[in-house]
Amino acid sequence: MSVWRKNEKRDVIPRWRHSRDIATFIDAASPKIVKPAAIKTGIERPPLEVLADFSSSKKPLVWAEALSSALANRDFDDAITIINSKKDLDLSRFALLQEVSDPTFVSRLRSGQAKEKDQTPNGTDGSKPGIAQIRKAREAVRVYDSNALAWLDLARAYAINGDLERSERGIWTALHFDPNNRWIVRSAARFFIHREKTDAAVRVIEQAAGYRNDPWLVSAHIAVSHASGKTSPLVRRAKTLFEDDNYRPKHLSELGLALATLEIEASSGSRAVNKLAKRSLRDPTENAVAQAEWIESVAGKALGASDAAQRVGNAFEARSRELAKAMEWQAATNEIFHWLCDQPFSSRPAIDGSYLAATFLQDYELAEKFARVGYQANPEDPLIRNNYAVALAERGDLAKARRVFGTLGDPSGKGFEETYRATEGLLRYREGRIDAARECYEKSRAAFDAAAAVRSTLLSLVFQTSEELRLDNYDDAANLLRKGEDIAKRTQNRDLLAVLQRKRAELERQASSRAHRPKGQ
Amino acid sequence: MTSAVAKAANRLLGKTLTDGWAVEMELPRTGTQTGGFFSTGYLAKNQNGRVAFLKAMDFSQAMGAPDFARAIQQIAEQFNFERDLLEFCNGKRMRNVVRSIGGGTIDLDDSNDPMSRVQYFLFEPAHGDVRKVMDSLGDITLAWGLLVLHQAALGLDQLHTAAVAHQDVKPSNLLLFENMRSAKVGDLGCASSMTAANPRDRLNIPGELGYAPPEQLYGHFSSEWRQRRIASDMYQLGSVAVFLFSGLSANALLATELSAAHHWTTPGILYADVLPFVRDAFGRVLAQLSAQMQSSIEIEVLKIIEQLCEPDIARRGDPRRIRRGEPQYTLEPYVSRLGNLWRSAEIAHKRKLRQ
Repeated sequence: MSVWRKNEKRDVIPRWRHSRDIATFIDAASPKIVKPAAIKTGIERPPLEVLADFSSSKKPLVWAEALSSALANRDFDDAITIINSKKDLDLSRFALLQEVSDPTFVSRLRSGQAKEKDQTPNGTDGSKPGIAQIRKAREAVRVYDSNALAWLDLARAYAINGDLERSERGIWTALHFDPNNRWIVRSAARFFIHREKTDAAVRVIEQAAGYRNDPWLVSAHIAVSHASGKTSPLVRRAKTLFEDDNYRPKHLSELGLALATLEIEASSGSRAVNKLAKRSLRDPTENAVAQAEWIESVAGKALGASDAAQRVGNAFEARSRELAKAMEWQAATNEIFHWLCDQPFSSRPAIDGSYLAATFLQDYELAEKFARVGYQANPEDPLIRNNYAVALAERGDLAKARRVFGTLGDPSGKGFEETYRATEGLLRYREGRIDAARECYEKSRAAFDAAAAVRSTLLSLVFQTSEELRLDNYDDAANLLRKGEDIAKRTQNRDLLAVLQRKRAELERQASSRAHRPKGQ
Repeated sequence: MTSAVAKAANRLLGKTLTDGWAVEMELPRTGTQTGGFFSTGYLAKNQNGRVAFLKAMDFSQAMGAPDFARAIQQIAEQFNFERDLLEFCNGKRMRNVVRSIGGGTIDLDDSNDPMSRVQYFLFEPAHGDVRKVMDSLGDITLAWGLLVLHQAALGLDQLHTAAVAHQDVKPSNLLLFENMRSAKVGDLGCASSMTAANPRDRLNIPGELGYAPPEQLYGHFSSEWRQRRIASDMYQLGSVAVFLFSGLSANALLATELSAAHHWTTPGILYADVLPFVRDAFGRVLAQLSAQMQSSIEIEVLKIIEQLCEPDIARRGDPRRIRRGEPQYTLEPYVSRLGNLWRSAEIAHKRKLRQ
């Protein structure tokens, strides 16, 4: 099981959501404060008392036009009154009219409930991952092929399924139809980061008309450039935008935290970071809150991210980090599940979720679910492959674990060789090759020690202890535990110490039940 | 005084007009009313037994306005605009635009009070508007729906050729004549002309809100007349098509698919910002219609709806024309396409009846 990447580098890379969800996460209003235009209309809607005549004279279309007018203007009280006046009007000719002529439909509209909402990430409900989403998205582009958001949704469905070639084609088509819209451009940039094509991510932002004047695109430019190891030339522009009071605070929150991230890296003093974070957290997006939470961990001081995480309803990532810090593993895992539902193509929630579920909850079924979703979207990601293989092995599906894991060695060459060696040890334990398994764990631990990777060492001890316990090798398990507890205490790794102590209790329970078992059993 | 004169336009029943028309029946007020300019409808008959629709203008409402002088000026300008436009259309022999067959002024009493004076127009009488005819016919055929759309497109195109845009195309303004085999566009009160000013031109949304195109709803106004006016007629014609086939206007369906944050009643939204979401919602509307419209002719109608109701004003219209760089804000291609579809539907219907 790979290490949960505490304090790993984070940037305010734009989120990529299904088009239906964008409005629920970020309000669609213009970034600049716009005075509502005085719309002067020439025609008034008919007074409601006229409707009684429509109904009694059995004129369904006259009635339907009145209902249309009320629905179009979101006058829900009027719509319900009109619907209740329909009595025995025959609407059988019009299926759509019948569907909306229902007070419950109008009540749902009033409460903002979408007609349908998919809150289940790929495959976590046991269904065949993503095929239905792809089919639905393809139907949407078939019906209306210049709909840029529908292409974006199709691209997202492919990305969730790990088909990045088709996904990229969808992204380019969406950009072809609407190369300047901030949501499309930001989503495209997110995709190219996912595809590790950072130059393309920067390019699509720069090709959007007026990107220098849009805080969302400037923030994305800074974050994407930073993620690719470069400094955006828009930093000065960003500072000017950030100080402009004509922008709504929410629309500046990610920009401010993108700047704060640069300040943290430049170590230019905590005052600047404080100021940026404070202003950014007035009305932040969930992504901004997550970034603030990350900055807090790096800077080692509170900036208000915890409060913001409670205030912002969908701050799943930030809350999961907060809860993990507080060692509330079950609640943290729940937040990660929501985060994964929101960004199912992203490897981070899949890695974090599978790690927490397997290590701290020992809920391998849940760990497998997280890893499966991540593996579907990111089959080449070494950490997800690793975690998926561990979860499968722990659940006893050794053949599949082996298939997913492949052979020893980090396939990406990104420096996870020793993590892979430890997992190879786990698989060998399960295959009954005990000596070879122990050798793997020991070698990996030696490398972790040499690299001062304390948490990796501790994790390796946790998982090896479990295997020795499974084999009833209490002495070996006790030795491993002792070593682990010493390291955890010394390095103040409270969370892993708690896991090790739980293992010790397990050991004592098992050892005592064995001692009381009648001889010969 | 106001209360007495406020009813001036409602007191015509039983009167005989100067040109011999007897006002026989007041029509119930069932549709929307022109805001700021109320009128009352009657049926009138002349000595030859010819029936006409009479539209009596109520000037008296200006009395209640805080700025009486401005209000009376606006109403007078609007009345004169409509009168001149009707004369202009009569002169152009627009076959699919409702013709005015007369008009004038009548004094309701001998008081010589200007507020007891009613001005009126007389129009050729229709069987009714599209909604009422559809209601009375019960089950309507695809061919009939296409006939109405084709003739409405013809009427609008006749106006557009004369540099006039209707601006309030909706089912209640499409009137049926000749045993329901002929449709004409009526009520030019909201129209806009390239050559004459209508006070309504100052309004952001000159016609009914429920049929207004998205660009108007979100406060985006093009300075180019055809884009601002003809494109609006195109959207409204598409919306009528949606209504004929679904019983709901395009805007009603759009509103059910848009989130509240993206709806035009939410303040502070710019058309450019919200457009992808409106287009996305429109895509879902099309998907719903597509599930209902399965025959080859209906599929073609759906393509026309897609092009006419396109929320992005820059994409609205015939895509081939847009690709070729030809003027896109015209109903010309749709007149012929709807005509062909109507004829095909008619043949299919007759064939079905023979079987």
